[in-house]
Amino acid sequence: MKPDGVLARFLASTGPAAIATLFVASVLPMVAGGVPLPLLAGTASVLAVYAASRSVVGATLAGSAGYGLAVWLG
Amino acid sequence: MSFGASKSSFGSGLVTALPIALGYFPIAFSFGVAATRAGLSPTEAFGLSVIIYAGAAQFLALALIASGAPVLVAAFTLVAMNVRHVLYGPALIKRVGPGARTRHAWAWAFGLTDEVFGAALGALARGKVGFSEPFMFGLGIGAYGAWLSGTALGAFAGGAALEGWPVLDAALGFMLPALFLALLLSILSKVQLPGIAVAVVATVGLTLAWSGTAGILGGMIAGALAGVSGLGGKRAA
Repeated sequence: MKPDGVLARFLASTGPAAIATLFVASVLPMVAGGVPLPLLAGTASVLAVYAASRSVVGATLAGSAGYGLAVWLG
Repeated sequence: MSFGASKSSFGSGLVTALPIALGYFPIAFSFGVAATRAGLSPTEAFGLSVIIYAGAAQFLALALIASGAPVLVAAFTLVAMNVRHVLYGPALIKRVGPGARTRHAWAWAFGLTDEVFGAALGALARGKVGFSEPFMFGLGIGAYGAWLSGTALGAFAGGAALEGWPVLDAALGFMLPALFLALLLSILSKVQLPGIAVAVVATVGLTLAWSGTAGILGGMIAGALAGVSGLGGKRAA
């Protein structure tokens, strides 16, 4: 399979497209009535920790923690 | 290339699997949580991990099931997503060269996930291990075991086990979106950006205008097509 060929590009693109789609699909129900604070807190936590550490697992856990913290405080 | 090194053992396969296992466990845990929240029983969630054994495909299966997609639609979508794995076995054997044992390949080839395939190629290329079927079994079982145990634990936690801790319950509920966002950030690049942007817009638009199922399928296809069209630049990331 040619690395630069149409098929290789389609396979490489299916990955990011799928993940982006799944992210939107998983978040859409949460924003049905406006964007809730825990969602913002969780998203901000993911962005911040990923920027600092480049760790997918760390950013995921931070997102959950940020969301939970906002729920607890709210 | 790899027959200069001594044939490697089941044990060295397990050791090579360790970084993969550490990565798989939290993702499988998120899947277990999400699956039970979507209404699957723990057994069904575990079954999906046993049979499909592919992260993105399993999450997609959940989204499709939850949106009420017809089973055949979901099935064909998953096949399309995973068809690249068919190429991994032949590609690996080709790299090993003539004389590679394939007697039990029908069994260990099941374990050829993206990461296991990559680890096998990487270990062979570095010359640290030689190809052997016990090595492939060790590598595969190490990764698969982490995937299954993570799912089982997540299914247990996502079910009624945490009812008494609503904050923890809520935090777990956000683990899946958080994981997707983190994954997205890790693969973000100038080349991928148009495909991702198109996927996001298409998913939102189609979900609001039509249905959740249409949003998911349409988003993926639109995003993939945008990526193939080379909008972000000529070379795929």
